[in-house]
Amino acid sequence: MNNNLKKLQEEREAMLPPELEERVSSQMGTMAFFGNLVELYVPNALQVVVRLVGGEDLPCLKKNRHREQKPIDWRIPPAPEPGLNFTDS
Amino acid sequence: MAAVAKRKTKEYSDSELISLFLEDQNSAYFTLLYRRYAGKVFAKCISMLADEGLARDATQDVFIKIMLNLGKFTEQSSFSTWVYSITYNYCIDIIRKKKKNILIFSEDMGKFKPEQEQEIPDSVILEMETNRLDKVMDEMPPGDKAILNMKYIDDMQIKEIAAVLDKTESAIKMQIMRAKARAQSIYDDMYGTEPINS
Repeated sequence: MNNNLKKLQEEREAMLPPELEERVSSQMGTMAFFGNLVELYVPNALQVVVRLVGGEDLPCLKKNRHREQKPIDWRIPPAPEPGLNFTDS
Repeated sequence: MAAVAKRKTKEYSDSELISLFLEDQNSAYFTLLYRRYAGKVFAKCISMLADEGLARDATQDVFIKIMLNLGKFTEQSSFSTWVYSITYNYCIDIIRKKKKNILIFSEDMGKFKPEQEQEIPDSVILEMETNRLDKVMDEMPPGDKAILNMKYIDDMQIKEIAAVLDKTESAIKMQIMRAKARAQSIYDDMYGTEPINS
């Protein structure tokens, strides 16, 4: 038995505009770009807002935070190690 | 794309391409899926929407939808069935939005009653001369068109069609019967009693 519905479908398949592939892939690229942007920057932007209103660090960003380490002041000499004596006399 | 080039593209199954795309987010894998299905999706969109411009936009939207939902594809059905179900439902939604009061299936149109509840043989539809068949299909309600396409073009099982349209299997069987009767009645209105494959 003929299937003319399938024939009609094949005729229409051949009408697919070739530029459509370009359109789909460029839209995919744009979406991937914005996806990455959101993934990278939204948590940090949120963190800034939270800090501005006096809140605590977001749990997801706590690991990367180095601000709580005490900065080294190079003007103060380190404490002498026991056993070493560098007096002038 | 280099990894894809090592093997012939035809050697990759749909499932392999999906897993590779989900793993790497490399668009080359999705492009292969696009090339496999774009023609079929576009043909269905033209058949449903009867407008090339709308069909082009719909094809683009369907593929973006597929990409965004690829992680939800569970392999309960074949990938092609999943793709076609997204396509048909998307087209039906567009038609609904465009014409708010449109009736989607023959059975929604109270006035249409098949003259006899006897089943019309498949050959009456499938062997209709292509130009006439095209015109008859254009006059069909969108839901009926989708059902006939799923059954006779995509070779989908009744169970699969029921899942796509969220209806029971017996309802789908009845709708196929009515869609065929509707097609026959449209043909008779257009061409009188001329033989279907003249």
